[in-house]
Amino acid sequence: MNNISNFASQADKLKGLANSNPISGIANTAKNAQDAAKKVQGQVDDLKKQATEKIDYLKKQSVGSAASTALSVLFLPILKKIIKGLFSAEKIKNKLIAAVINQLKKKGKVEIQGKKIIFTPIKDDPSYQAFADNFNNKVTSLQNTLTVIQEAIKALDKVITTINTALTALKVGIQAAKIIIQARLVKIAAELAAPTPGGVKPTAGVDLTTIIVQLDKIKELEKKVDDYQAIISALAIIITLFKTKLQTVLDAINGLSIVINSNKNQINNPQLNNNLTDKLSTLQGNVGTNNITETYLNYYLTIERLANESYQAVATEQVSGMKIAQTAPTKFVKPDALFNELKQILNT
Amino acid sequence: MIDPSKYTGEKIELSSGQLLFNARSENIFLNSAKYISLSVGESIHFDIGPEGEDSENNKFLVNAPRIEFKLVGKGRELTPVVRSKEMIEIINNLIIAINDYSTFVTAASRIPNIASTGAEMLNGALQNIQDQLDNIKSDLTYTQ
Repeated sequence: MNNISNFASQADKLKGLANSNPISGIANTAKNAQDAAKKVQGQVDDLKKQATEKIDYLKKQSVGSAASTALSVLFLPILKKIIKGLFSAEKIKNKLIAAVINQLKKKGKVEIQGKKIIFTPIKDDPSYQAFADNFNNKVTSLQNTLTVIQEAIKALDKVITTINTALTALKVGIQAAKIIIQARLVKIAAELAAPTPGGVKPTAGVDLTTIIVQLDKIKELEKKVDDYQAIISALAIIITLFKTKLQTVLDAINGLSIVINSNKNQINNPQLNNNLTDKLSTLQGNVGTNNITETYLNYYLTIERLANESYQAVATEQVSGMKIAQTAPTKFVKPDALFNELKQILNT
Repeated sequence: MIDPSKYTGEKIELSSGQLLFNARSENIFLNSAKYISLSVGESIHFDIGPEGEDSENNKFLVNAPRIEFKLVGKGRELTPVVRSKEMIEIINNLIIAINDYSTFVTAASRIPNIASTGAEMLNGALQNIQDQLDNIKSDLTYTQ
């Protein structure tokens, strides 16, 4: 019976551990685990008071089913809460991103680089920064929610580990008790086999009945422990699933942010933008923010940025400033090629 | 677009049994203030780069805010094409959801009542996947 007491004592420790955790659901779980342990002890105590006629009843009782139902009831609420929390967080994250992209793409260019949403507005407006700050705050809030779920999973994991340790210790105790009782059984069997005057062995007979009852009770307890351990193993697998899911959601949220780019001097075609930047640094003349110029024969060749964000190379006579030739507007041709095209026009 | 036969402004017409434009060392530029219309009796072929060469430099680039394949007509509606990256992500999430459900149900088979929680988990995952479905549609390219 010391083993049963140990189990109850482990449950007491478990309750203490869980009560030290701020998550009440887990404290309740541990309390229920303690109650379940006491229930097991009570059942075994009752059995102890029964005589041989109870053995048949014990054999018929569906022990496994009762034990597993008890444990499932204990863990169900907290598991449901974790599932709801995890998938809600993911849903909120998805909706938040979709809503932001939907709103911003009407007011400028939206690019997604990794977890950064880069927004280049058509017109600069200070309210965009406030919008970005609001988004970033919501992301932080979501991270905080996930931290609470993470703590709940950690605590649940700890509870499961503690219960498993207690059950393993209990099983070792059961095995030890079984060996002792079986040894006693062998001894009494030997005594019963030895010849005695009159053939009456009252002491050995009483002991034999007691041992048979004890052995049945131990087998019963062993079944319960095996069943609890199977449940705890299953719960450990489920907790691992939650941990993986939590990590996936956290990975998707950590680092998520909006960056507002000023639209000043922005050119929508990145390739063209780079080429123009290179050109600006190498060419001698620079006429205005968006135009680049070079000298060719008696002409100034200029690449002009037009209102519709296309480009055009224009040749003007150096002295008079008269427009001599120009290429067709383009959004795709590089500045070098535009200059070459213009030079070809001038040479013909 | 004005019908070419009805256009009265200045223009150059070239008409012959065969026209060949060949820039021996540089480019050909076709620029237009409005449309460039290519109409052929059979088919248009674009051959880019030397045959058998697989270089990223030899590419066919179309840069337009909207690309449509096939003309919209009566009873013909264009639909957005699927974006592969988003599609792969959704299929991957679906596989993970089913796999997680399978693991959950297998583990929970020994625990009455908890098995149904696996269904809640699958349902949550599927709802989130469903919310992402619109992301697979291209807002640039459309076809029939």
